[in-house]
Amino acid sequence: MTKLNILTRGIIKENPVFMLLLGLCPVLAVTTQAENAIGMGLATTFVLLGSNIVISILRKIIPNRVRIPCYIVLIASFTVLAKMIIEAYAYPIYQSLGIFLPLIAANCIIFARAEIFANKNGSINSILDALGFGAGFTLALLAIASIREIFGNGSWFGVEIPWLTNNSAMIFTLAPGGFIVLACLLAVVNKISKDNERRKNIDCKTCPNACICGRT
Amino acid sequence: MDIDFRALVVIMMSAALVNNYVLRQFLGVCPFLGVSKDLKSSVGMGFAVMFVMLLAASVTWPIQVFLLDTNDLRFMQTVVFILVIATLVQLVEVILKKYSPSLFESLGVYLPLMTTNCAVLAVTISNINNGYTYIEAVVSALGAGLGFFLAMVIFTGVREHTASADPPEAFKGIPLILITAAILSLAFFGFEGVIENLFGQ
Amino acid sequence: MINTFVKPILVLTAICLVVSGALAYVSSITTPIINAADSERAYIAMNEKIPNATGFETINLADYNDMPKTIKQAYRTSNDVGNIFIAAINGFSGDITIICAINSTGEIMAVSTLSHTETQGIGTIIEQEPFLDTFKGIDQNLAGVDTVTGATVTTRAFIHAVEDVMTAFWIINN
Repeated sequence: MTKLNILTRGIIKENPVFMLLLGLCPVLAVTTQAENAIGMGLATTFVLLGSNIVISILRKIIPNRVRIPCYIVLIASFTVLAKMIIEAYAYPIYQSLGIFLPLIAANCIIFARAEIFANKNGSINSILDALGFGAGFTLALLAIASIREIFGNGSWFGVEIPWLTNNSAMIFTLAPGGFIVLACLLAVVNKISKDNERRKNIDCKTCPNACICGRT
Repeated sequence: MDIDFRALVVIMMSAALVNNYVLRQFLGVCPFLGVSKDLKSSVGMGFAVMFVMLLAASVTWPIQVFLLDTNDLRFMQTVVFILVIATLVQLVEVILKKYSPSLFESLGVYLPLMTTNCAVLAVTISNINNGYTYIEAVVSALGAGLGFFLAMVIFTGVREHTASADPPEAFKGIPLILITAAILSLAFFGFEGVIENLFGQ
Repeated sequence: MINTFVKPILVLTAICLVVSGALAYVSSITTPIINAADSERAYIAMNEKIPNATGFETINLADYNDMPKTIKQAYRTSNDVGNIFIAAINGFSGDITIICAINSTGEIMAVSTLSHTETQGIGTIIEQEPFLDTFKGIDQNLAGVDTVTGATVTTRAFIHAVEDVMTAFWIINN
């Protein structure tokens, strides 16, 4: 696989949200505003990058039997690091992400990349992989958040859109709106891309994380 | 020690219905979508989540209050909690396997999923954020677990019916399931204000 | 033996130790910044609430008995035009911190939310003027505040905090 392939794979072909349907909790929860989506996307990318780098460096040292606890500790630490930095330097984002900031520690995308990629590849490739999947996640969040903010709140990145501001449909920013917007976007993806087992039949068997969750 | 039972009921109902973890707060969406194909597995998953939530909440609260708070180690909260949850899950698995193979058969498969289930971590963290007492924390975990169980079982029932539906090609599979979840989530909005009307304030 | 038991435990322990150390270091850097930003925001909010105050003096809460435990900070104005209270109460998904200004006769001058982590869309009502304005000019009885219609865990907690602020005001000014 070429370097370019590794970098772009996470953005389109294996987009964590639209193709693999991973980490849906933050995808639905923080996407009421485009700004929050960017904040969450960047924070997740930071944690993903950190964990991928460290795990790829330590992959020969970490014994196979305790690799999952090691991932948990490392990922959770990078999450706390991100949380402290955001709280200190970007307080409004810290406020709006709320409990979903510490919950990055349980985001299955990061576990998946650690187990599937960083554990088996060198640092450079792992960095590219993290950047690709981070970008894919951020873009997906941004797409959903843009739709929800524009129609639900009549604004985009806080900038009011004429007419829509006075005719916004609040349902978009509420919980059901999150499910509906994601459903419609996935229907569009279904239409334009070829069959995807996971989107047709979501269960634990098609989950890329089965190797961590289930028994290996 | 006097216990405010009214407050406990409010906390429980709030966690289970008004602020349902899956349908209102988007916590634990992955298992909610992934394991809701048939009633048997969704009941198993529901019980497993409820059990682990209760266990995790009752263990993490003392850790936070007597260990992290007193030693000024609050920043370690996320790391410690997720490790504790992972360890508990492993322990329960081993114990179940040894002493109750039949229970292990029905719940065991879902236990390893708990580590990456954000609903469990969320319950422990929000107990601390909310400044709950020990009993309140346990009750809120029980409520959250019940709410997850309820959402899971209702959703499975609805989802079984969508199997015979004939949606447009593009909506087949996950989009249809998400729309179903949206409608269920809308239904849970009906609980808004229930607590205030039942218990006054 | 060494490879199957000792090594995994050693590696895991080492990682935990290194990680804790690193986090402690970062925490020691960010905590002062976070605290400073908190009090900065509080000061700006205080000035907005009572513009004609010449200065603010901290009230030592430990001097009073029966102070509601939700009250975190209290200030009196140097020219005695009122008091400011900062109270934190549990909402649904975390603390709601409010700032409330009360004039010398015990009426609310203004109240607003300093920080909260409630659900977007539902919880954010406590940031909006229609809700906040219902508290203006209200005294101890809280008569006129709508506590039922559309109430959520969030608004209920908010009103609770305002009640505690009122209690605290009369404890201090008696």
